[in-house]
Amino acid sequence: MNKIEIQNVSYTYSKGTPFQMVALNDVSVAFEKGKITGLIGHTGSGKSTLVHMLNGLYRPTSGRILLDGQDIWEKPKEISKIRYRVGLVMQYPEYQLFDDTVRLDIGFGPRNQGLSEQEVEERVKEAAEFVGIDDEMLEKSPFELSGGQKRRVAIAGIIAMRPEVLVLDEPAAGLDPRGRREILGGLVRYVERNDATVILVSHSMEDMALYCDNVVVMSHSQVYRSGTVREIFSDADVLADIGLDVPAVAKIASALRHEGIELEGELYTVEGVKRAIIEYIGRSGK
Amino acid sequence: MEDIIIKTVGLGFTYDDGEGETNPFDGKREIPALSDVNLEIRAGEYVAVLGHNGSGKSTFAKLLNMILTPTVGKIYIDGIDITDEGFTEDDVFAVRRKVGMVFQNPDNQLVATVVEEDVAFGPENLGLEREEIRRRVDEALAVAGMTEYSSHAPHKLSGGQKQRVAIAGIIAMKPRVIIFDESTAMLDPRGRQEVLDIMERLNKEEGITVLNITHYMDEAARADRVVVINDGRVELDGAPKEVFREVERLHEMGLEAPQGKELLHALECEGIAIDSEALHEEECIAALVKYLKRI
Repeated sequence: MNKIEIQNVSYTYSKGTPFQMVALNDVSVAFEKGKITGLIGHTGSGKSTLVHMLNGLYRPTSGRILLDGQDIWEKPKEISKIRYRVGLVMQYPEYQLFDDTVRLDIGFGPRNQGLSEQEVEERVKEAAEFVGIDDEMLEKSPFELSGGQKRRVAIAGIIAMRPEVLVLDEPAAGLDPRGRREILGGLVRYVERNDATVILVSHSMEDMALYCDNVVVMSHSQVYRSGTVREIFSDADVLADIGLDVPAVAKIASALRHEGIELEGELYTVEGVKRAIIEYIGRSGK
Repeated sequence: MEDIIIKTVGLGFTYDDGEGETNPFDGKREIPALSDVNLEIRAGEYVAVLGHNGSGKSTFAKLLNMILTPTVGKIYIDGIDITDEGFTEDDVFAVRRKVGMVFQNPDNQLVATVVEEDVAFGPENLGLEREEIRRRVDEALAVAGMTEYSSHAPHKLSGGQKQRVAIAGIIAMKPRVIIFDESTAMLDPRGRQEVLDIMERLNKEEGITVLNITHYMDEAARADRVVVINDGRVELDGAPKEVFREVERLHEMGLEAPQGKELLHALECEGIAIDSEALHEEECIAALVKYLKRI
């Protein structure tokens, strides 16, 4: 089932001025409910514009955005309600922390939603758990934390509003491998527990392969390809045509297949390629 | 004797408590960020420094450039003891001229409104002749591949281009060492590649010693030498092939090997030993093809 549908959406910056620039050109794409969809493309491909549109920060120049089948701009005055339902974690969200303690910062959103103190407390606890923040850290000032910890607090602040759709722009940029795993793994649990929909923007094809169900590829203000992770990453050449990489291990699998070694399965994660090779050996060796 | 450009002896650093700074990386106080680091880096080496967030690797870079002062131990740059108590402000500037640093955020490093003015900022402050400044700026822009953007406004450039302007500003100071402190972390793949290419060109063609502090394993694998810092100590130090052979230890430290190496390691754990030397993608492919075609 589709949670969000983008229908023939175009967006032009500074329309009617000499600086006019088309950022999205007649884009139609859907995001499935309960799935994590990766959004990839070069800088300038239009993916950031699309992301800012999903929770109503930009209004399409033309076309419609449907959330559960309903046009989010049907009542423009009520667009702020959409922002509780579609949470957006921008790039480097740690610069947006402001409150005295981590607990207050995470609770800011739900408190604004008008929830009772008890509910706010529950939301804070739940959100902290998803991103791996312990009780001790909740009492600290956000400014005492490391960059990676601040990032978690900022993401928890959005999760605490329990959005049906969570959109994240490079949530793991600049983090080490363990930090990436913890934050992205938390998203998977969030989706599973709340039947939420996640849209993840990242340059890391390895992360896409590990955590996403579907992938949408943007290029030159349009959707270039969309499909399951398997469909998108199974052909290294298709992405290479627009200058994008596939995960390193997918490139290796593709090179092996060009050599006539017939691997089958999920050929885009280390685990998947390993299994395919073991299976190949099992088939070939007597 | 080979020319040692950087030498540290028993180097340690503890972030101060109370009114002093807190460790910006992990927020802890009074915990040593670095302890007992003994390293020798030869002139012309291309060294990657790896470590998880808060491992102490950025503290190390800031000590070399004298942004921080060691709590204990000695640092010698080009044979000069930069931890000497009689060190004057002029001496500090002399060190910074030898050791340039490129930081993570491209937007925080540019000062002028025109690219070539930004690059000229350093040399101007050295009090050089006009012609010499012109010559250095042109040269630096050429090396960084930014000549055609010399009269552009920096804020209109891409992240990778901004980093290249920042690098040109450092090159114009004619340093012997350039430290890249996670300089590719905020860039897209194309920008990252641009910066890596320049890094390698500076090392191979200009003979500049390069320290690349990073958490991209594939970047580290391209260096001549990899130093892994964990909990403030040097855990591994050697050629990429030696360091990335220690896949299990890297995992314990919250790091990984490049994916090809991870694949070979995963197969080895299943009893399929293919080639423990292969590291780069092409090597892994060649080793796998050779092994799989034989069966």
